[in-house]
Amino acid sequence: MRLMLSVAHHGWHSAAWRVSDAPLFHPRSLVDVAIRAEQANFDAVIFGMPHPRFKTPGDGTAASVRFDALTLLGAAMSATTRIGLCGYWPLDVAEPFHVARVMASLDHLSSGRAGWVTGLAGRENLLADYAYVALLADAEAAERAAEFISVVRGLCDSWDDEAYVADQASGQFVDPDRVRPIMHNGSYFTVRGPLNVPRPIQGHPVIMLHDRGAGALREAVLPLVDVLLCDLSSREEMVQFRADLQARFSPSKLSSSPLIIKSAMPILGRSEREALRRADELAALGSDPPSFFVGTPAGLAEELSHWLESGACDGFDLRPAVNTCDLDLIMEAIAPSLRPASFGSDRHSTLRQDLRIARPA
Amino acid sequence: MTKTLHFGLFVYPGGHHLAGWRHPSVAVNGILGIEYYKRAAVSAERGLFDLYFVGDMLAAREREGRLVAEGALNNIDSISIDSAIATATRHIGVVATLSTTYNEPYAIAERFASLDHLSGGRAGWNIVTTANDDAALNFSRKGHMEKTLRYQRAKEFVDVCTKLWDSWADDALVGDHGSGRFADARKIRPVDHVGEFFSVKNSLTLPRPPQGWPVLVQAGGSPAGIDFAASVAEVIFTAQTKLEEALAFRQSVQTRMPKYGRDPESLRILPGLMPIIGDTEKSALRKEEELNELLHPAVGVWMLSEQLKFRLYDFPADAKLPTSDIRASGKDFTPRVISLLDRADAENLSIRQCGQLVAATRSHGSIVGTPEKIADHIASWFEAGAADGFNVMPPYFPSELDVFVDHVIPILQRRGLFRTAYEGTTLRDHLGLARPIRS
Repeated sequence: MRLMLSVAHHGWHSAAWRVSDAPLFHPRSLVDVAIRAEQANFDAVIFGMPHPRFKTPGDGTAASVRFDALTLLGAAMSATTRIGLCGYWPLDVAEPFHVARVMASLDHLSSGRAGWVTGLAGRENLLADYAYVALLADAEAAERAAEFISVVRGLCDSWDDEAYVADQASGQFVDPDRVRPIMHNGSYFTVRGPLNVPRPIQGHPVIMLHDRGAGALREAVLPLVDVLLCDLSSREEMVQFRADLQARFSPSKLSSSPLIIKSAMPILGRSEREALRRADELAALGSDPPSFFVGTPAGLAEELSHWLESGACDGFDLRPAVNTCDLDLIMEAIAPSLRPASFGSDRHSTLRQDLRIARPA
Repeated sequence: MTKTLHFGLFVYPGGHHLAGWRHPSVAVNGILGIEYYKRAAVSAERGLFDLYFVGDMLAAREREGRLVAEGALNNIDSISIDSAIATATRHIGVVATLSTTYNEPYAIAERFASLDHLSGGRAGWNIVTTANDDAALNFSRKGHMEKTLRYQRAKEFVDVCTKLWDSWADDALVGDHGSGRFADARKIRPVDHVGEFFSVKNSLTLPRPPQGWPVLVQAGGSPAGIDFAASVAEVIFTAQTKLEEALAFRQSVQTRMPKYGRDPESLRILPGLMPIIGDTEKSALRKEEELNELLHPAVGVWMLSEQLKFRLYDFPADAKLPTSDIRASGKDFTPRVISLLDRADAENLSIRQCGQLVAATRSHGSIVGTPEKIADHIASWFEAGAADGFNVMPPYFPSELDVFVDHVIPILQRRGLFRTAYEGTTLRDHLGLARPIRS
């Protein structure tokens, strides 16, 4: 079971801050969550995922607070040593060269732990702040997204693995014969390249799509992403979805089906009763989407296994409802069976290796 | 507050001498990994440096269409490094370089606000307009934006960013658990900016940064650059190598500042300085010689051709630098290049020698000698008013940085020119710069 943890200020429930004794505004706590996730042997943390209750910047709600994912990735990198570091960077506000360079940088700095969560922030979220963003129809936006991702991958491949020489004796730092411009000239981007950072340790960063159910986008980028972060509600729907997807990536095809990771916010308690009481208390304070699971840590472990065994997904992106409470309980849930103490505690592996995703040739 | 020196550490993979990465003491396999950058930051913080400085490049360095093979790369993203360093240190400021030509203000304002919050008020932004023409080709642009236009865009860009950092009042956070009011929306205002280059409606997604704004840093000595510096820069990273030039530069910026409603005292000028330090004058010179011997001749000729905008690859390396042909090429030269041409004439320098000059120090000031000599040089520029301190560029890492920290800093402390402990907590505190009042 692949396990990731999405980090939010105070937690994922919009009323988390109201039931928490943590300081009201505490940037460093986001890094602390990553440290805890590493101790619990999660495969990755994810920063900067949009909050479901985010409406307008500065509307005074806790959900309107948003940190830049790249700064969190860097900050968490030097506080951890082996957990994967993924950040949401929607491609409608980015440039492929920036994404490729930053992700390659993070991958080198972190010894192969970088992941890029891509997606579309959406016109309504962007127009006010980025007037330059063209008003693309869904189909075009999807097409542009696919071109964007393929340019990022192309830039990573503009260096052969052997191009970085750094031979002190001869004075050769790079082998220019093994680095070439990509000369991309597409419908949406013109990018010459090459990248100015050596090929990432993982070949490419792990590329994940924040799949909010937009069919056109998913279809367009499916062959280009390693992971789908999904939020379909029922287990049955997910089983069907995953089966359909895998049928399309039959073994004869070159690429394999992306991993399906289910995003899930559980609300936990030491007893069923406490969990229900907490769920009620939170619901009274903020009307968030229904939680994935309400119950004890042991119950959550069973539920996660059940989803996995029924073929609904390959793993989870767990989202603590309230950091000061649910994080501990999530760790309790996964520690005994899903992530025993012996689990890879002396690993020096890349995020791709941990997720068992092939390194691109 | 008594006037004190200020130091930045300019970090670079391998070292600032273009052959620094070849030095036997450099563990070259680690220079892309975070431990390399942390190691330098820990030393700089031990030396009570004000700030840790990382540059930025948006295109590969090429020579006639092929990647330059012999020079170390300096392209690792500065925000990634600085965010990591902010967590690994407690006091030192972190300055990251981001281009106003190839970014959008909303994202950049959010990024620096995040860095300032995560570091507890230690962020600085080195504002660049990106001089490298090749960058345009990586960003779907038809061509590189012309310089005047780049600076116009930069001004509006910074203006939008400061509006965004000011969008939350300092006391906008409420945190009333009972009523559920997290922040007071009446104390957060949308920026409603419509300008020549940008339209931004909303407020920022974060409370006002601890420093109000990150410290605004700038580098660049052209007339457009100087005017821009006078309008926004609180720290200027310069490349003057002569004291008189440095004094003239300071004056030209400071006389322009009142025009923009700014106090000329709210400016710190830090020239780049590569110290090559030895126990004796002789051992320092030997160290320099050793480094210059490691310098691949092709690197020098390439850097020279780039800076002079003049192809020198077909000339014999020992020929005199063709200064009259270069001057006649009618290119728009920086003051740095003009002083190089003058020096080549005065000293009758060959292409190889000039190449060595620019490549060894990447055109910044360099000083070779004992710790006392280095300290004297620093003190003399400081006391003459030519510099408020220096952006230190060790020829190779980390040993030459450690020599500076362990042998030069104590001399300056004994002379009462440099702090013996961090006195404040923010980068503004270290630099003695006021926190901007929300407009």
